[in-house]
Amino acid sequence: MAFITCQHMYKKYPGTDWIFYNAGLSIEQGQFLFVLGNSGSGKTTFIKILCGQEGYDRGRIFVKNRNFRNIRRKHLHLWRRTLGVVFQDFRLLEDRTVKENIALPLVITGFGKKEVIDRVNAVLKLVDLQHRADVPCKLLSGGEQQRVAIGRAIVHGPELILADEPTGSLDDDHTRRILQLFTTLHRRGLTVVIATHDRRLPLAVKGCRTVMIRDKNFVDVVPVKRANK
Amino acid sequence: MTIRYLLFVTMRNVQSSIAVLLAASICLGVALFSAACYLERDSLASVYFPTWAKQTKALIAFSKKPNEKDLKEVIAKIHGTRWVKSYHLVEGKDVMELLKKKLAVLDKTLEDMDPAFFPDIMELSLTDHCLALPGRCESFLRDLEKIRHVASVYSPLPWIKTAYDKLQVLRRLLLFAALLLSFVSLLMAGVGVQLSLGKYRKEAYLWNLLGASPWFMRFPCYGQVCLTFVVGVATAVSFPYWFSEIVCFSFPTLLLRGFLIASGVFLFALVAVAEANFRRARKMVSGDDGSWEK
Ligand SMILES: Nc1ncnc2c1ncn2[C@@H]1O[C@H](COP(=O)(O)OP(=O)(O)O)[C@@H](O)[C@H]1O
Ligand SMILES: [Mg+2]
Repeated sequence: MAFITCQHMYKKYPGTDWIFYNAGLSIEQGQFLFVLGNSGSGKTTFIKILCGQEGYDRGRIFVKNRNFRNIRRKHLHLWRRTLGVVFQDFRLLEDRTVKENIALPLVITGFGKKEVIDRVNAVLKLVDLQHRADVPCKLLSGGEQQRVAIGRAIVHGPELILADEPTGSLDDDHTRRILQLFTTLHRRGLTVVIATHDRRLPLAVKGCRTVMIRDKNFVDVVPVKRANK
Repeated sequence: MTIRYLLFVTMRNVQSSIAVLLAASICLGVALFSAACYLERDSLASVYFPTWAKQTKALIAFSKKPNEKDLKEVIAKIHGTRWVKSYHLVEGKDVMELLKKKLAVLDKTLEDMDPAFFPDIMELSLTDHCLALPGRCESFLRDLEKIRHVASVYSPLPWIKTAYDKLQVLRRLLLFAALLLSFVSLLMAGVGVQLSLGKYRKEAYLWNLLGASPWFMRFPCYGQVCLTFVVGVATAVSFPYWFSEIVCFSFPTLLLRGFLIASGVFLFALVAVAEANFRRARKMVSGDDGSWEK
């Protein structure tokens, strides 16, 4: 049973050409999926569709065999709780501290105080931000903000991680660390979807699947270097 | 943690529109007070009557000294009715003594008089109902005159009835004020919510994205409006208190029933305001309008 299935998906914004035209993609449970694509190809749009922020014009999406339109209508907030989304523009609360930003998903879903503190501390360690815990986010560098965004996406133990260019502002060292983090989570059974324009990224993760957005559709590709072997 | 966070956000929102909140509360308070007074049609008079007027007394004068049987008949008639609080008999000679004390000048004249000349008098302390329904109470008292040996019944009720009729004008004014001010207060409560929306727009947007439940999203709107309500009720309750302190009126306990009715109606209206604003807010924070600029 596929975790998420898109069939004949059509999507356009008002006044634009089709972003997706008859697109189909099936994501298995526990898969590590890279969605590659040039900028403007619709990676962010795809992530937004999956987290219910954008609708789609035609076609069907199933989540664990349930029609996504029904989820969107009735249980959107429950669906969003099972997601960990790293937004391309981070979407942090700038005047709040790193800690408060990371704790937000826990606070709004009613976790207890002790649990919140424990989880936030664990995540701070994972994204290497312990020393910045009480700094307001607006004072952080782009790379640090990105790591806060990643921390916030994983703190509540989501089933599915949707990361939009999660390494866009990171140096090589931190890119490697973050990929390592995603790999660890993947090994624990999470499904990970990473949208990126960086074609080298999939090479760093063993056993991942890579699709490319080409001609308004998803196409399975084999990362370049492995093909060369 | 969740509750604390919600309270924090709500209080911060309130802070950003504190003036509007206060204005809305005071409007609501006056509206509630007016509405309560209007609803208390019966007790309105007693609300506005000063303390001395509440100790209204009626006198039954007997034409001759009543015997046991006569008294029983009178008492049977007044005992346990809603009009009479208590009663006691003053004999003719005591009436004379009283008059002597009060009218010292006439001392000599009174000295010479036969105590039997003074009729026995029964003094009735009247309840608040008499103030509220002076017409009906008066006819009840008139009925007493039909009893044997009762010469006449004296009461200030006709006078009170005139005053009460005048109060009807006040009632209409209060209704008008209640309608006007309730409208204004609802409007202002809505403005307060909208003003503070700018303050946590981004935050609410994020809550929505991170899977906050509909009730979580609602809380700040509802919290703010309910705070308006609480302050409004406090205003409305303290308003007649201060009012009565200043003008030497007494505290209106009877206001409570009308007060509850009016409060219920207003709470409902305020919740409707909160819900309407929440729906607006939700439109603003769901979907991507591309305004997440840094
Ligand atoms: N809200 C929007 N309204 C209209 N057009 C949009 C909107 N969001 C994105 N687009 C357009 O859709 C296309 C795909 O955007 P996006 O999914 O952000 O691409 P990517 O993330 O792959 O760079 C772009 O051409 C962009 O201009
Ligand atoms: Mg993008």
